[in-house]
Amino acid sequence: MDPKTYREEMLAKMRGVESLGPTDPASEKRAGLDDVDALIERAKDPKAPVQDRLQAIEEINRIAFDLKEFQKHNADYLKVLKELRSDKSSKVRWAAFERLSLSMDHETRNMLQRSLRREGEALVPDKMAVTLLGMDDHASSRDALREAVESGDKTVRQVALLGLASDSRSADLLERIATDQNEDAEVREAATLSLRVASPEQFADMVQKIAVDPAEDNRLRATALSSLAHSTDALERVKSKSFLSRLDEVSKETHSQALKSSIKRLKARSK
Amino acid sequence: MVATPLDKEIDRLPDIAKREGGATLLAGMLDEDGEHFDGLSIEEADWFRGHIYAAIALSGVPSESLKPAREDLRTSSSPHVLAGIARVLRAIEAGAEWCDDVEAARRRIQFYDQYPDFRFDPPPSPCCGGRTSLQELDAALAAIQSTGCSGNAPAIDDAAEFLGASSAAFYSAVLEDQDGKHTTFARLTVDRPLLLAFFYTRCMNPLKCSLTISRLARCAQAEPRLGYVGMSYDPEYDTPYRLRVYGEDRGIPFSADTRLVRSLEDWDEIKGALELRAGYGAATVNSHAREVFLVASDKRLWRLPPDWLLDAAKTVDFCCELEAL
Repeated sequence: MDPKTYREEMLAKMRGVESLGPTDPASEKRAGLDDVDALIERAKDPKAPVQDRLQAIEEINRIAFDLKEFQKHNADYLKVLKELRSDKSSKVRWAAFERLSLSMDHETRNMLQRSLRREGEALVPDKMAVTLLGMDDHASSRDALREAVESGDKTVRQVALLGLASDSRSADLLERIATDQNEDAEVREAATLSLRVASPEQFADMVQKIAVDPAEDNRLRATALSSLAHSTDALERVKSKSFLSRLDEVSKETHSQALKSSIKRLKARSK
Repeated sequence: MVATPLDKEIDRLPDIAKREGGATLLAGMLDEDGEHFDGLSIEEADWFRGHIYAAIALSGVPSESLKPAREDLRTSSSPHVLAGIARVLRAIEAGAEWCDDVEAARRRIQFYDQYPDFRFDPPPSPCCGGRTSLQELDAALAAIQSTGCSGNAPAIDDAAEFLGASSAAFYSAVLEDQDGKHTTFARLTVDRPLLLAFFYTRCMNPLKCSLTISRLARCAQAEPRLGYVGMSYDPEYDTPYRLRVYGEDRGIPFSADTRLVRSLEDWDEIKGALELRAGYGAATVNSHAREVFLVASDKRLWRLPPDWLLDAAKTVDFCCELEAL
């Protein structure tokens, strides 16, 4: 059963309904491997309704999950997706970019970078481009992500900061934003979480400063301490007993339940 | 589609192939640490590498390209690289000794097949389309099979290469191990030669770094007369904790003589002394060979064939020949 159907059935059960039941008898039959060629044709067809084309792509992606079954179609499907990157329908285009980016297709990733830099037409929304470029353990699109961090849009900045987690050389940038009290709290939070991965050492040092600073945002302090509690790498660097005892004082002084919980968690993990 | 600087670089390859000495030049471009790989992503580096092989196939294939082709055939998961090598094999009318490696490469990409779309190929005809990477390998295999498969693939290169004496700077470079303790090659080789293998923890290719460290672990368990060090290509990211977890997961028996390390400040010195074959993208490694070295107590350095990690006795015998043990 695919996740969508499963979700619908579970929601229906939760509402006390036995089963939604198929409203359309045709929907009982799920597309299978034999349908892939027809689905590819439907996805490609610019005259077909966009919703049908998106559904075809979704169905193919579901079938492709079984790599062994799908292997004979993989090359042709990727080829079609590459054509769909310039489709007139933005939604079809986005679906193609999403799937190809997950395959780490270098050409697709270059197109996303160019789209972000406004070299040619914007093919996907900036937030989507940054999200897809950020899904890379090797931070190959670091420069594009750094540029996005300097952009004005808050959500784009947040996503770009998260994507920089795998770039150790961006640790100073992340630390600067994480500790800048003039920055938006959620942007600082994203920078803090990424710093944990980019440089556990700088992250540990930074958390020890902001956690005991009453002028700091409580939510950020709580997030940073929780994150520290779950990072063995960074936690190993927090040896100072005075820091841990200072946290006891913070816990007594603060009214923030989130901060109190984070301190409790950290102390339990550092034993 | 707008041609990127990389595309333009690739478009030059067929012209290089046609030049006198061009084939040898192309073979030299396969070195992972070549400047032309600087700043590329892993996928771009593979895309470029696949084109280099495809261009070599257009020229008289030089023997220098066969060693990297064999190594890539055994370790690469890139459909582009493997399709390029398949063309080289057809061009040289490869013999039966390539059969097993081609079949193994075929199995590796069977679920990730795609069209290599080499830029200098003529546009595919509407009736037949181009070949996918798997079809390129199949074509190479069919040509080889017409002469019969031996089922006996040779070692890539079975000779150690003497690199000379290490510099004082290399010997005293500060290394940090998986416990955060500092050491140097000088200290690590006081009473025994050192088997030094390179890796990085976020390498995505299970046939390279992960296998190298697993094999290093087996050597360390089997042969106590040598010291064993795995060193990261990615010292900024590979913290002591990451090194420790990576080693533990692969059975490294950590001790004073067996460690995973990263360089703290002398990385360029180490890279230069060992002539490391690793290229770097924006943030980290984009391509690398499998690299194993012997560091003797008297500062002499050898590059060893990576498959020597399959059997520590081979290195011990070599050390005995050198009177390094």
